[in-house]
Amino acid sequence: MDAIDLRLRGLAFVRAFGIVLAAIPVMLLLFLNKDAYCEDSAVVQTYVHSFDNISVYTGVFALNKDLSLQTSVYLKYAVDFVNPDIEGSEGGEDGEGEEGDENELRGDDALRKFSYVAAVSGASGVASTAGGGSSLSDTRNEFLGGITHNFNNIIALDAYLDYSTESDYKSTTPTITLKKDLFEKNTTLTLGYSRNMDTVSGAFMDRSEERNTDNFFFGVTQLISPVAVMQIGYSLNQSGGYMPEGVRLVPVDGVTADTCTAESATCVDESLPDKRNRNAYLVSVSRYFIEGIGGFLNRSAVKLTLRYYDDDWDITSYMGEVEYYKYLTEQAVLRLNYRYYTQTQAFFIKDSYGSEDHYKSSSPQLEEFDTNLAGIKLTYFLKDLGLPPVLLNSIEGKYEYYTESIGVNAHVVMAGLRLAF
Amino acid sequence: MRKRVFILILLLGIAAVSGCARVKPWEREYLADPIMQLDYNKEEKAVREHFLGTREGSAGSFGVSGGGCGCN
Amino acid sequence: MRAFKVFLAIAAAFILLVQSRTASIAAGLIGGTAHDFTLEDISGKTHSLGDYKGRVVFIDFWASWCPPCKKEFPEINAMLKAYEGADVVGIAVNIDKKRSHAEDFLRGVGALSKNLVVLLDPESAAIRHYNALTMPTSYILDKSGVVRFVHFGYNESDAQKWKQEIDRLLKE
Repeated sequence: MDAIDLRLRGLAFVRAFGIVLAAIPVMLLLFLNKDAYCEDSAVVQTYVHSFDNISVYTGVFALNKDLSLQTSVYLKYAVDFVNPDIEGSEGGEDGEGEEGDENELRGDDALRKFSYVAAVSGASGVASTAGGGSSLSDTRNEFLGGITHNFNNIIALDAYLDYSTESDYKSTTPTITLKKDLFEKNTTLTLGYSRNMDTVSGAFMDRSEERNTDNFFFGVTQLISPVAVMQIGYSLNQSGGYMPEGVRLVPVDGVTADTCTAESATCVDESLPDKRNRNAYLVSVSRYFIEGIGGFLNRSAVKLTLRYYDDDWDITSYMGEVEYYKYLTEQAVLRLNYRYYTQTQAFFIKDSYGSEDHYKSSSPQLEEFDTNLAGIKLTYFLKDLGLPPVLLNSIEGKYEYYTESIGVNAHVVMAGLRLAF
Repeated sequence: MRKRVFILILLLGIAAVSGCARVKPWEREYLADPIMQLDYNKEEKAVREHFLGTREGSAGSFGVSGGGCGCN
Repeated sequence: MRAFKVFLAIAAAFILLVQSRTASIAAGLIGGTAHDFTLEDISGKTHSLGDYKGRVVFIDFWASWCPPCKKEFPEINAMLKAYEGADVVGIAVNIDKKRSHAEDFLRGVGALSKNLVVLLDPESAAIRHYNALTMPTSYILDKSGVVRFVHFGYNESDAQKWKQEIDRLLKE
């Protein structure tokens, strides 16, 4: 990493942070409430996701404002700056990948960069690039607005609209969620529907294409005891339309990825089924501990989450996560977390493709692999700090390390603060 | 088969918790603690899910969010 | 589409599934004599509910961990300020396990009405006898100590209702 690179990274970080900071006074002017007892809050966070040769800088600004006891509004703006290593240095874990991902990791710089750019950018979680092989930086902007209303304590309705845009991707997602409390609020039922309406226009695409996804979800939150709560959820996603991301080429008929710098007879667009149905099942249990294990569990909570997923592309995945929260003092909370994820590959994934193959993919996301994520986070709650009516409620920072069995590693650093007014 | 086992576990889980003794409104101080909130930091959760969603093949199916602690 | 039909069916069930025991529970409480309790205030002075017979009593059970309680508390305080000099007293029973949590919240509220007594009940001993369905729950007793009105939870229109109910009991 040379000086220019460092400076560019620094600039991207300052831009991300500056934009969200500039949003604060505007939001406060719009929403400042004279009622000192209101629990309105604003959140400012910055993230760096640093991969072997690309970094993504993220700024988030969110505001929650109660209009009345029954109605609140939520606004969020998030920006991602994708900042690849301009020297195109070697990918950190080249050569360690399994057979299926060699094209991604051993291919030429352009292809490899495409896969790295796909790291964290991408509306609806899809890859992104600025187009040309030399300039792969990109910016993603996301705007989210929503309202929550409680109808006479009988049913609560959340309505959200999310819009995100970047150079080759646009996504609009309306979401509606109904929540109902039962049995003296021992049980909460959640029912939701959202629709992702995406427009994909990747670097290797002649024209933009559409993709729509209907998402249905149902959940039950159940109090088990005065110190334990359980959540069970199911979600169904039905996608139709253009599934590739338009940022990857697939070498066919014996050609290696190294020669795939542009679309040709032997380097073709990805071709994927035009429908995908996905199911996910989730169980989560949180348990509060007043004391235990020689102080280790004093004022702490442990949360376990398990998720099973399958789809009609034959991908099956399992996810397990454990989080441990602990009050170190009255004001400082520590979080340790570990997450394991494993998936099988899609039914059409092969080591190499021939032009006669109906489906072709060079996406590492569709291969068999597993991932690990471990992190530490500290939150410090402040008391009466700030100029009333705006108080600094908490500051927080985290570090996480992410690793994939197919040879991608990332450091995740986050800093944030929460304001109350 | 695995899927059926998972669904069975889910159904047994629902059956088990629905028979639980009620937690009274005044017994929810620990459940209301920020460290017990399922979506206390939804912005962090959204960034993380976006990040993981671009890496993993089961993007976009993160299950349900929300649900309360019943503490108000 | 099948998924849509299932979704709409469940959504309809959600909306129709009205589950309310509130009215019957409140009816069971109204007309009965309020359970007596003895608790300490923040300064350590002991108060019994029975001490306030002969006055209209507004009892509220609250906690600093309960968001609607924190919105309701200043309203109770403001309402009671309007009744200073009248035969009305407010008893706000705090059920926080740590008194510092209650004290932190009260510092932000400012001056309390002379008619408002804040009692500490970290063991939640008193509220158990009041069949509270949610937090906060408040009760208005007439001068003879009989429960006449019950409010489960807190709505913005409640302050107006409290005043009407207290005025009615003061006239009896």
